[in-house]
Amino acid sequence: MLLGSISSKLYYVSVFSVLVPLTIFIINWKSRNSLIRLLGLLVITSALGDFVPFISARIVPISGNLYNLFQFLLLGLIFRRLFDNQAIYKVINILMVGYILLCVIQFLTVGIAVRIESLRYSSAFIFITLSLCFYFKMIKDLEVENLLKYPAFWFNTAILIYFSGNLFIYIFSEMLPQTHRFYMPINAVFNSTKNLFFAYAFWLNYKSERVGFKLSVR
Amino acid sequence: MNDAQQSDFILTLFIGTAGMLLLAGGIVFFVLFYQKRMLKSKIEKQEMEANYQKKLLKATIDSQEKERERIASELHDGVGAMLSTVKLYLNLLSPEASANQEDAESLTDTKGLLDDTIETVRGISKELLPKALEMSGLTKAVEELCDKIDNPKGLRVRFAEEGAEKRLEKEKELLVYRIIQELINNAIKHSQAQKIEVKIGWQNGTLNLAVMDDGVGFDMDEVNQRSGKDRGIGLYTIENRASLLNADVDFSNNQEGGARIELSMQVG
Repeated sequence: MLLGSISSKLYYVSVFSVLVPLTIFIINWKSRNSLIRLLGLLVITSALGDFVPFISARIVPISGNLYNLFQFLLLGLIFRRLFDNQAIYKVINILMVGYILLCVIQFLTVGIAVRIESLRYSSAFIFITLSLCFYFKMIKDLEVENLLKYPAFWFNTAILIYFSGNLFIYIFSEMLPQTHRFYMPINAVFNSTKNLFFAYAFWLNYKSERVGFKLSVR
Repeated sequence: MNDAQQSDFILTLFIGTAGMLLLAGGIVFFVLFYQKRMLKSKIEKQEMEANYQKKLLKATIDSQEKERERIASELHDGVGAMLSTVKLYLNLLSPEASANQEDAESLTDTKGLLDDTIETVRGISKELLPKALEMSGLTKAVEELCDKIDNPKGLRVRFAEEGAEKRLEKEKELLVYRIIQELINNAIKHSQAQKIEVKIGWQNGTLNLAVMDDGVGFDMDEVNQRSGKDRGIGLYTIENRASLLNADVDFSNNQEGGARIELSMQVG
């Protein structure tokens, strides 16, 4: 009962937290930074995915599966832009094509109306790895003086924390349906954290563009 | 699946999630800490390299100055003295004593040429080692330099000063003097200027120097795109000397046309 009450509160916080980065992105609308534009698109997709249950609960699994696919593609494009390296560019392209094929196969075999957890944890594994690789790149290149003022750092941290926090729940949800009651609060906490970090990344970019020097990725 | 197994699963779920979260947090803190440390060591290394380059540059300029000093003294005390002795001997020969008119004219011409040569040697020697710099200071030495180049029938070189001069270390004064010398030479060689203005100002512990001309000015795109020696040896030498003085140099064009070079440095 108590868990249910906390869970529903956290759920609403999580859903409405997407409005924070969305608002700052709208202020940032004129930004010419391609990373910010892609991140904005990801936030819009996330907002659409979060508000679907208010329209119809029946289409939630379908929208969830489609959201996973779009999220994967957008994150792939963002990381491709962040690494700016031909070899990683090719790897991410292969991963994106592979993920689309996996989705098509799963939609055809399992069905699109059923939530497919394997799509979630496979993308979680991939983006945790890419996020760690990007941290390595930041340490190796030493191009940024203060990481805390670097929008890409906050984006990357958001991705690492979101997927690391949700990884076990994605795996366990498939293995043990009883764990579904923990799904919502855990996912809500990490989703809110991710949204706040995205909002901070947008804010840093907005501030840097206003003072006229570049803090964001080249 | 029984209750005990379910509880184990749920426990594993929470421990796993907490573990992943701790790991992620640990990685983030490690990246922040390690990046800062690496950046610090990179900056230290760059500073060491810059200091080494500065020392190397200073040694090169010092050896250049010593060489100039040696040549100047050789010219003044060696060649100059010998030419004066030759003049003395020539003066002993009177044109009237010559056998014919042609010999007498040659002797007079030789004396005239010798006077010019002695004057040229003195000029070169002075240029190589400006005595006025040591004796009267930077302002006076620069004023003399401008007066020497100024030609009422051709290129006009005007000098202006403002504020009371503060004597600098000999090395620094020589560096500033060489910069001015190079700027004037550049203006003469490249700008097609009719007028050059040199201004020296001593205000609030700062030396402000400006050299302006009414020539063709800089191609700013080219100056900004290139760096180091690609900008030309003259500008490269000026930048190097300015870096030894910890001075800021600004190359720009006047609104009316022509180049404007400003240098400012703290003089204590």
